[in-house]
Order: sequence, then structure tokens, then C-alpha cells
Amino acid sequence: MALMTGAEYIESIRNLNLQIYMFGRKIDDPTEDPILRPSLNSVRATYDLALMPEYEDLMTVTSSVTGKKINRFTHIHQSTDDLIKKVKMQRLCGQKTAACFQRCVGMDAFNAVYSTTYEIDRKYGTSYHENFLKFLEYSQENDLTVDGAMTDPKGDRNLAPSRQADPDLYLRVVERRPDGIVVRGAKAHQTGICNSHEVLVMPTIAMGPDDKDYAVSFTVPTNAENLFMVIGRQSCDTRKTEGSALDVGNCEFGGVEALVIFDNVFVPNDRIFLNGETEFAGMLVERFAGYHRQSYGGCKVGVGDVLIGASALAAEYNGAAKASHIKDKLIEMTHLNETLYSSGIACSAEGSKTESGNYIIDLLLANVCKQNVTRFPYEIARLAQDIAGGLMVTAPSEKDLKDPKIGPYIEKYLAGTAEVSTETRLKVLRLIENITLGTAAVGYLTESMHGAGSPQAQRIMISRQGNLEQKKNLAKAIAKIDK
Amino acid sequence: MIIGIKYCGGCNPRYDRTGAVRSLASAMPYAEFRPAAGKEDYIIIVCGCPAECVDHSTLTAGREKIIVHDKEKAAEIKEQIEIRERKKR
Repeated sequence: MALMTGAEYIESIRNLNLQIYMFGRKIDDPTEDPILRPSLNSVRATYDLALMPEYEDLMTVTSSVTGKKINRFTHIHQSTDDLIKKVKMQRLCGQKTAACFQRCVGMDAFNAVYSTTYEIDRKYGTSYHENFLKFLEYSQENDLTVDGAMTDPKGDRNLAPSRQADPDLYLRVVERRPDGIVVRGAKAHQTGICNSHEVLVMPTIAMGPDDKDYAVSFTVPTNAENLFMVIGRQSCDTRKTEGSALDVGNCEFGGVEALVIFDNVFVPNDRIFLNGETEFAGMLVERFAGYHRQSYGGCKVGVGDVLIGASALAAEYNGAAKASHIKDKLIEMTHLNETLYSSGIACSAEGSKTESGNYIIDLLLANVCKQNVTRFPYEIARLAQDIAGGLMVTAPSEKDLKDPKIGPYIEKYLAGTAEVSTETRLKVLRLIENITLGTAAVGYLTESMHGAGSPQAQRIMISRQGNLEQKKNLAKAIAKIDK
Repeated sequence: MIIGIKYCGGCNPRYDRTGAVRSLASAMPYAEFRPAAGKEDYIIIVCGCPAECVDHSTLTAGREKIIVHDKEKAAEIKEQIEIRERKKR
């Protein structure tokens, strides 16, 4: 099975019987829960699109491992063209879901672990790369969704992992056995975890010699013993339990995050990719972060496309589409959105080959890309709300709209242009609400701020990669300064 | 006549690619349309924008490979094929 259908994917997740908690109780069947299902549907889209002829050129690729046709989300990039097509695929998936489709993080982890394990093995003669290749082939052959888990809770940010008051605030090895290791800790903000077959754990920061037990990377199935998840709350989340397609704005797709607890989880030796080689923790983090910062130049652009379209429709529906300031705001939104895309494409086109043979993005441009993503979606969202008008947050519920007594008044007084029904007008306003301050704002805004590293993390990388000395020399040459 | 269709990935198409192919198919009811495999009389590479990033190097058409990236060119495919067919006769 090189490619799963969407329906097969849903069943495969159902069969995992994941340990998921929400609102103080364990969820019996996460695949049917109204709050979780839209998130699952977003991942399902990555399977459905791969089987559609009009999208397969981006969604699928020939495996460098098996030579078979695979979903690009399980691919190891073989060229800068692969890096570019990755960004294009992400834009497409964002357009089709208007949400986080969650599968990028595993792809980015694959590519970072692939090259890092190769270099660890060369230095230490370990077999991490071979371990990873086996896991990679297994993932490709079974078309798995893999969650890349990096972010530890981190406790006191001023202290190294080994200096924390509670040693479990960074995930660590608590026992080494002949057949594997036992790990304890947690990973926070895991968007795709409850829709993934496997979790690929990585360290979250560069580490020193005292942090040996924390320099660990591995995979386990998401239904591993002693692994469980606690779903995070989102603004407007319980609207999804009310049965109204209109009020939620995007009734089919979404994304949720979870805190994942590893409460003494066993990892067999052949699933370990890093185990105590502290000097490689930084390399793995930097490479994963670089790939993931590139990703945002695709996925958020796709969601931005939907938001710009929704804003244009909102203007049309209330008769304001021809106003010059509306046209200008739509131009500005497009300019900002395409600027994000430009840096996503640029860092891909300027990619290079690693020692292991896969391709990595240009780190400076990837960090510039993500730095823009921490800002521009907020401005796009502000302009969308400007165009939408106050009704976006004051409109009555669908139940009122459908009420025999109240409904006709809502139809009458919240009407826009004569050609469009009040319900249609409200649908597009609810979509804008969903993306800019509802459940999807978690993905479109706050995730844009903090996902793949908060803004300061990119500024540090930009500072390191910015080549300031060369720029000073350029200025000296022009100004005829000798020393 | 067999016509093979190969789409680009569709990340940001400037026109309705599948709609253009549907229109073409309904205008040419005598032709069989199918996903391009490389053995069709004509292969149409349907790109969404001028980047034409789809890799179609492994696809060889029996008569001609036609690449389009806008709706104007897509609308001319039928005429292009008919001219080619007339010349052949």
C-alpha cells in the first residue's frame, strides 16, 4: 500500500484507539468527536488530494528509497525542485482546508533526522541512519502520518535541561536497557499528534555535555503504552458541539493541539536516532526548524488565499466591492500573502545538498520567511476584519436565522445586496471570524507567531547568517575606506 | 482519437483547469480522454500558470504534446488538434 485513500486513513486512525483526554474525560472514539473530527479531516485531505489527477503532480513523488509512487509528505527531498514543490503542495493544502493540515511537521522531521543521523554515524560509527532508513521505508510503504515532536515544556527558560527543578521538564532517557531506552517527559503544542500513526521525537534546543540524557531522538507509535494526549482549548471550540454548520465558519476542516505525555515509554533500539550525542542536538534542531520555517511560506499562504477570497466576497455581498479603499485593501492583502510565498520559494530555490544527499533549504532565507509569517497574517487578518465589518462578530446564530418567528427579521435586516441571501452573507462572515479569531485563528495567527520557533529565534538565526562583515566591507569599498 | 491529460499540481492556478478539460471533452465527443500514460495520440499538459512546473519529460505522445497555461490557450486546443489532423490527411 503506497498510497492510502482518505477513508482508509480515517479507519487506520480509528483502529489505533489513541489515549486522548479532553474536558476532563477520555474520548471514546476521537475520529467521531465533533471537536476533533475537523482536525482529522484536514489530514484526510492530504490523502484525498494525492489521488486526484489534477493535484497528484504536487502531492505525490517517486520515492528515493523504494522507487514507488508515494505521498510527498513522506518524501526525502532530492533536489531544489523537490523543495519548491513542497511549498507549492503546502499552499494547495492550505487552500483546500483553510486550516493546519498537520502533516508537514513529520516531513520536516524526516528530512532533518535523515541528514543528521548520517553525520552522527560518520563521527561515531553508530547505526542511527540505518535505523531511520528502516522507519522511513515503513512510513512510505504504509503512507503514514508522523507527528514531529520537538517542543518541550521547558520550565525555567533560564536553565539548561539538566538544571531544571523538575528533571522531566525536558523529555529525557530515564533508563537504558540492552533492548532499548525508557523515556519520560512531555511535548507541548503538538498539532498533528491525535491524527498521527507515529510520533518522531527530537530535542528542542542545543545541548551541553551535562544534558546527555536529554539529547534523544526516536519514534514510537502514537498508541504506545504510557503515551497519552490532552487536547488544548481553542476559542469558540464548543461551537462545534452545537450542530450548526453556519456558526462554525468552516464545518469540515480544522486543527487541534495537544500536550503529549510520555510517562515512562519504552523505545526499542532500532527506533532510536540520537542517544546522548549532545553536540548533534543543535544540528537537528536547526535543520528541523529551518525546514519548518520554510513550510510556513506555503501553508499559511494557502489559508491566506482563502481569507482574501472570503474578504472579497464579503465586500461583494454588501455592495462595497467597487469602493477604491476596498480594492486597495485586497491588493495589500495579496501583496503580503505573495511576499510570504516569495520567501518560501526563495529559500527552496537556494537550497543545497547535505552530506547525506538530501536537500536543505537556505537557512537565512527560511528564517526571513518565518519572520515575515510572524507578522503578515496578522495584518491580513486585520484587513479582513476591516472589510468584513462589525457584523462578523455581532451576527445572531443559525438557530435564530432558522427560527420561524425571529428568522424573517434576521433575513430582512441583515440583508446585503439583493442578489445574495442573508444566509450566504453570514456564511462568509463566519468563515472570516473562524480564521481571524475563532478556532482556526490558532493556526493562522498564534501558530504563525510561535510555530517553528518564536520571532526571536528567527532573529538569532538571521543575525548568525546575515554576513554583516561582508556588508561592511562592501560599504568600505564604495566609500574608499582602506581599513 | 485518444487524448491523455496531465495536470500540474495546481498550487495557485490562474483559471479552472479541470473546467477547461471538461469543456474540451464535451466539444470533442469523438475523442477518448484519459489520464496521460504516454501512449496517447495527443497529450495535453494542463498547467495553472506560466511556471509550467510539472515534469512531463517521461510522457511522449503519438502525434503531439500540447502545453497550455492559460484559459485562452486551453480554449484553442480543439482547433489546434483539428488543424494537425487535417494536415495529416
